[in-house]
Amino acid sequence: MKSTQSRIKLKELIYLSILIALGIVLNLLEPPISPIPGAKLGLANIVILLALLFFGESEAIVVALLRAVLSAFFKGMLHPIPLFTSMGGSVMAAIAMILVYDLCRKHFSIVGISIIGGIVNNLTQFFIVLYITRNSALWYYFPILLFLGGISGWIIGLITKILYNKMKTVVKNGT
Amino acid sequence: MKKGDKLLALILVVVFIFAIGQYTFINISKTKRAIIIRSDGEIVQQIPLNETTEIITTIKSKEGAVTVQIKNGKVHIIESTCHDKLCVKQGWISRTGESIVCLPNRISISIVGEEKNEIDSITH
Repeated sequence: MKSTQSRIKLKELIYLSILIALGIVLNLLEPPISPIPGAKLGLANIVILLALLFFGESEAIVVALLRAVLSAFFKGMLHPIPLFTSMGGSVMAAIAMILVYDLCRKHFSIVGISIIGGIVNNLTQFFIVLYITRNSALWYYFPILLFLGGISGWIIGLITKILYNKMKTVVKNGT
Repeated sequence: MKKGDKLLALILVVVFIFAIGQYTFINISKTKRAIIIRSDGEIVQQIPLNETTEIITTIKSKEGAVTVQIKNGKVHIIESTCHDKLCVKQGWISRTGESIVCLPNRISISIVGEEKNEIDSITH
């Protein structure tokens, strides 16, 4: 019994490591897309959502945190302010997606959960930047950030849905 | 699509319409504009902005410094001590409401319209 249990644990650990590695690579490779500098599609959120769907709440948070910190390491950018902003967005998005997933899964599909994650990610980063700069003129960007967060969440959700359906059989049954 | 998804889609459409409306509306009033520069959360410079304003200035903060150029009614950051240089890459801004933020340096530059009283007291 014990060896089966530890094998499951080990398998989960390996899958989570692969997800984190994938998240780092996706984050490093994805090009900036929007007119607002630094704003990206957020492909790394795919792996957070997959971790939530396959393994659970705390695993999703761990993936979100480690992905943000390790990405910063690989980029050589460990300045506390951008790191905090990126981590804050990532973790808050993970928490929001967990809450929706746990409390009202009936009403939201994977795409819906991802849209909420995208919006929360952008809003968290917006409010951190607002707090750091104390610049109320930045509210100008609020509607477009809200919209872009939703749209990128939508795209991320569609990708995640396809990946989830393809990976389902492997992750859940394979040994 | 589930019920919640439809609601989210509706919210996104409403936000999109609102955003388009806001960005077209704000840029109608182009008279009397100013540039407000903040460092470490405090306003350090207010410069009236028009076609003839031509300034190059360096803004310092506790974290570092950026060099700002104002020319032909437009603003950009020429140089920054930060690592990612996102503020430099952003290039020129010229529309009322737009901002450049250098997050690592805690410096932000915004173009604001005439409604604000604080600017009137400087320009008159």
